[in-house]
Amino acid sequence: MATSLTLAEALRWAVVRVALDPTLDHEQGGIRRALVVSYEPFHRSGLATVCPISAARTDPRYPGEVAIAAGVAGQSRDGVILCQQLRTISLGRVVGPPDGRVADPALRRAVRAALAHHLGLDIPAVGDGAFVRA
Amino acid sequence: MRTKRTYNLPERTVRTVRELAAGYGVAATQDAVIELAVDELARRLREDDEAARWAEAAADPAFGAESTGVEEAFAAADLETWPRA
Repeated sequence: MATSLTLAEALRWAVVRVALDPTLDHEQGGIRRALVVSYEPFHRSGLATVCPISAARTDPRYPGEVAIAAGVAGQSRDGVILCQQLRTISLGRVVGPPDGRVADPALRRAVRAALAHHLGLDIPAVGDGAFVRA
Repeated sequence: MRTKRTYNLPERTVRTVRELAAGYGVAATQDAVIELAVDELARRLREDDEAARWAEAAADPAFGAESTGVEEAFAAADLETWPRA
């Protein structure tokens, strides 16, 4: 499987198609769309952290889900970004160039907020070290 | 940005804030003690609320099918970035 991605190309906020077949040289089916959310330097490792995008429904229902409308970043249908399904994948599984990029600052903020929320980073918890004795 | 506000608090609460800052060293200042306490309350309330929503999700067949679908789809890809010991 060849990828036309280059490391010079910014990937953060790109919507990419990911080949999810068991082996990388098997190109039939198993393509899913995902939003790249990792910070740019990480991609030098050959990996990227992504949130899968579901087109099976259009409305966020649970915390960590963000709506993405048709027409945004190459979406052909309304969908939902599943920030609670965050995972790191090999860039070797990315097929072709990105379908598009999320450029809307409000949508980027919503994804950042959902990720921070899901990881418990938005409100520092006492048990997470926010409790620092002076 | 920080904003100055005035709240009417019982003496007991004021004393506790002072003790938490000075006596227990919970935070460097009394302002920081208040900030920490309010954050913790907000987080606990939100987590209580969302625990109920996630429990609903666990019983939602559509959510279960979606989660299983994502897990199965990413199974091979996940193995590549989660090496076996």
